[in-house]
Amino acid sequence: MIRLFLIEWYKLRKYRAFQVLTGLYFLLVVVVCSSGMLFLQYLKSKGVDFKSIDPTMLPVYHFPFVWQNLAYVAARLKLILAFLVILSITNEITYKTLRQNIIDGMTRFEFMVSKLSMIFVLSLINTLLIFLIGLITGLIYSHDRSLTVIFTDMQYLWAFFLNIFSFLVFALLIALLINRTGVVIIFLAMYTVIIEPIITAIFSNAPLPPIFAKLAPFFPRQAITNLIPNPFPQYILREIQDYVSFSSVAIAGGEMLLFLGMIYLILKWKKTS
Amino acid sequence: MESILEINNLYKNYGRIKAVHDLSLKVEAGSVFGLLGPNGSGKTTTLGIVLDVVRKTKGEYSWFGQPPGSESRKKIGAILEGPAFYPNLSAKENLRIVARIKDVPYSKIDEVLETVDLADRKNDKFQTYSLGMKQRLAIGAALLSDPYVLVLDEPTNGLDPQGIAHVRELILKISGEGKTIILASHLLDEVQKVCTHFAVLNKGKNVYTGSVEEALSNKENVEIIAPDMDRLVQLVNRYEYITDFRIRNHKVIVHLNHQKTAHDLNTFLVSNGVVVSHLVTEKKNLEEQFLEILSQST
Repeated sequence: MIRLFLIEWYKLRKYRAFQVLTGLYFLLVVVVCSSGMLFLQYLKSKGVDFKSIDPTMLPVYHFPFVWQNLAYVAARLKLILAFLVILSITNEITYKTLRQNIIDGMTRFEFMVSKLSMIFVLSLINTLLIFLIGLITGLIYSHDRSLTVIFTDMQYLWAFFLNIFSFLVFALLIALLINRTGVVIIFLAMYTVIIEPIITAIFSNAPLPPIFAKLAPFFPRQAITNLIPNPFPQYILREIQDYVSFSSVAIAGGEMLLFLGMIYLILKWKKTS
Repeated sequence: MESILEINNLYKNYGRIKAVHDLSLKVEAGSVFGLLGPNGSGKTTTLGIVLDVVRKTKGEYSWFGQPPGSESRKKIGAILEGPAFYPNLSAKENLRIVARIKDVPYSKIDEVLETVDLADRKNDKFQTYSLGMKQRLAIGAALLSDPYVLVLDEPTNGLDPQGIAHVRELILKISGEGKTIILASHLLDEVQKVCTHFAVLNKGKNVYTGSVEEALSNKENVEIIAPDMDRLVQLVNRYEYITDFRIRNHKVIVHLNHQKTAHDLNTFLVSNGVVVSHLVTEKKNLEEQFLEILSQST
């Protein structure tokens, strides 16, 4: 297992695009996640108020709300990590190194585990980073710093991990299916930002038979997004879902297993001439 | 002798195209085995199948007398269709990955880089290498696990004469160490210079298998001129150890069969009163043999 991770690590660590993309991504996560208060101050300076409450008084960084808020915000940025995963797959195909790895004695399963181990580690680091940012900002802004409150709602960190990991698995699958770097990147970006949101919006809201609305949560992006419900409407006193629902974990987790199975089958059947 | 690779009745179809058709062959330990054939004759496809990167349609193959798998691939050093490495990594970093895959200690890396003459460029990125250097790195990577057998697919393709000579020397050096080498090539000269055995593929079929020595040794052509040409022709016609003869540019060209040499023919002529003024012997080269085999097979 460590051997397989190290193989992937040696492939990537001196790769400029890997350094740039991971650096950029983690920097962005830190900046975006810790600048919430600056953003609220900016809103205040523009004279915005939330039902006559001073925006800076909103408990965005307060325990335990900070976990859901950070997990939700940080999960918007994962497309950058997905690009990295795509590159690491399509390069192997373009440079014929996947084939050479197999000729050299790797099994297809080992190749898959090697790629997944990197995705796992990236997701884990990402989750730990969110935990640290949440802990620090929470300790700065919260009034209640008791351990029970701090560690309430850790469920969002698990959900965040699953969110990132399963999205990267999805990106890996698309990359293996399409193979061409540019096409995969454009497709994944278009799909997650435009195509699927439109389809799921139509399915859930248009006057269609009720079966369509029931299908909407099964679309891959929607399934992953549903893991962490949007917490922000609560600040304008709307009702939100303040828990990770079992059904969302079951759907996203189930689809992830399905994707993993498909990845293995593609690798097994992908014998090129 | 122990067999390194055995292929039995292998087939590969791409749709209606029969890339490999009922191919069988056996590579013995210690030989340098040339896989010959025109472009598109199925050489690379065959190697791709036995290296487990191309799916066979049907048929069997085994390495070292065992069913194929990742463990036997680790004991094979192979390049298929040119060098495949991570362009942004140096030679050393690329070989580290190969070493990890093959479970070989890193200490072997410098050793093979020395062997393929890349030690002074080992920290440069692969993408900065010339084609010859890339090809040599690939051979180095193949040597990393100290494999029983080396599979090289067109190792001199696209190289300049110096690069070709370099790679050829390397192959001879490696085979001198007792390793088995399987070499796919359409360069006959290359095969003639380095191989001990060869098979000729045509349209996916194995149309000839044999040793290079055998294919060449029993075929000698002798070119003769004598002052009395008519008498010479008469005598040659009487000589029973020829397969045929012809007259070209006022020279008699005799194809001897494998029992007699030019020396015997000359002795025969002299004892019958003809003293030659010109006698050149020429061994048939692999190219002629190859073209003959191909024309017979179609």
